[in-house]
Amino acid sequence: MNVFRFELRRTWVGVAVWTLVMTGLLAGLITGALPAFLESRAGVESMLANFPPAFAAAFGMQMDNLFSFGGLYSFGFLYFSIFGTIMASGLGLNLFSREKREKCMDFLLTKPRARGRLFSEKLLAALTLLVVSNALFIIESLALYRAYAPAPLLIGHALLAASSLLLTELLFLSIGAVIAVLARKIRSVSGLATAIGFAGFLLSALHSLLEEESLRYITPFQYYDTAKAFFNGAFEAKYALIGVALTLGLMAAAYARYTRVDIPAL
Amino acid sequence: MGYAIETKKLTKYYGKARGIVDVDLAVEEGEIFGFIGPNGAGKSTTIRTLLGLIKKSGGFATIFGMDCEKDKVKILSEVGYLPGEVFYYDNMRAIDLLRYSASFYKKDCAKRIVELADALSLDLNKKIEDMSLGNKKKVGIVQGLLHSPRLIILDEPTSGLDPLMQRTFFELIQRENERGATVLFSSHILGEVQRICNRVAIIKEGRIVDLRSIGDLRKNSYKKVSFTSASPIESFSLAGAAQVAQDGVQTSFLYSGEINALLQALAGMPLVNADISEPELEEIFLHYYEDGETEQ
Repeated sequence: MNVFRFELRRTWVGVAVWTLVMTGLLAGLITGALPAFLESRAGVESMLANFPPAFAAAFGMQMDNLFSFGGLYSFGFLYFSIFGTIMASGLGLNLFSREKREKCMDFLLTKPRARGRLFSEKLLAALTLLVVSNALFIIESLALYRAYAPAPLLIGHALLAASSLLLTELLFLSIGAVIAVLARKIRSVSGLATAIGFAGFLLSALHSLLEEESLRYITPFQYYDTAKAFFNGAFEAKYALIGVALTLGLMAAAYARYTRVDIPAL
Repeated sequence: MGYAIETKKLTKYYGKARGIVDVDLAVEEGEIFGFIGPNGAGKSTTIRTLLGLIKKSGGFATIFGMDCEKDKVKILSEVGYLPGEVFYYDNMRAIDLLRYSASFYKKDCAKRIVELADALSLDLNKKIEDMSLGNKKKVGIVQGLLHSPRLIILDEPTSGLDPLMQRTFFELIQRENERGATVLFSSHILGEVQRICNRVAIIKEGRIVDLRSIGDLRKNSYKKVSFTSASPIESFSLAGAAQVAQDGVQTSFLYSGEINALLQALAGMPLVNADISEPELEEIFLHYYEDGETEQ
């Protein structure tokens, strides 16, 4: 497990920073913004009424349930998703292109370790970091839910809603991994990860703006619909399945490539 | 005793581009085997196929009797590899990198790391990215030898090492060899191959063109002949002569064949001076690269 430990040591700080930012934002949104937001409902509604409805939709506001814990939480999720997916795709890019970027494929791949095992240890390091990060996020979400949402509490719904972040991040981890093993060269992990995260956001905004249902098939932020999970206690099976299938399919593709590709001389 | 490395008709194409074609090698355990050819001839391709870095297109390759693809992990635990250009992870000290490297082998390499670093006078606490090319190379050498491998594969290993360090390096390799390690030494510099190898394979355009002992290659096959004649000799020709160069009264060539025939031929000429000597490996080597003009 030396590769696992090696990768963990080299990536945990970045993930810790992202996690701190996200949990901080979540705390700010619920403890700071939620009470004020609920109090000024009439004012906010009249302000939003001046904008075209599509505008609010593009920014993730669903008017029918916005003024509730779940509504605001789901609204905030669009933005947590941006951060989470930048973090997760960055992790995939970073781990699986590390030797390529630092030109030491020869070093790692002439060690007595099967390539499949190397890939698995890297993947395990990424999963460990994402799971720990999300465990903190989920625990915080549930604590805030208990403290701020009115009875009756539906912990199961809140748990499912909170875990949609992890599921979305896993998909983006796969996307990052595939790009990392396919790309000839990766210049900047952070730049590419940011682009991927924002592309996810733009697709989501586009989908909400155009209200074109077919676009949702290519909108990863909405495969695991947080609001649906929160209010109905379930994701929409069709899209959730696409998300899971893509996550597994892309990771399998990255594995296949990583274990077979010829490593050219420098 | 079995072969340390054996390949039969080993072939690699990159798409349609030729890598190596029908390479047959048999490196005996305990020898230092040279592998020479110019850049692009297929030395690295052969080595990378042996190491499982690239997949062969055909033929077979074994190391210590084990298949290079199927038993790769087992093989690699006994192989030390030093590539021509060394790059390592950013932001690591030499000692961290070497410890990480050692953690892949099921033995304690801590003592060996210190020994090798001492021999090469390498500062283990320095960050690798701050090191000179030569020092990076030393990290590579320690990295390749720290687990006392049974087979050492060197791909153009001396680039970036100053002559003094090259000597230390060759001594290290020879000591490893005396300990029992087999060495595959690839290079395009013949002098260094000549210096430590027992046998040598010459590769040209992806194919092995010759395989001999260093002694054979130099002594038995070729003589370097040059002479000065009293008057310019019109169109000199002699069976067995190659690389004939004429400049006025000066004539020089490489000769392979019956020595009496050579002397008889020379005796018929108006000689002022003559010199018959051992050619440099370099000069013999050129002979393999003359396209189509070689007399056999």
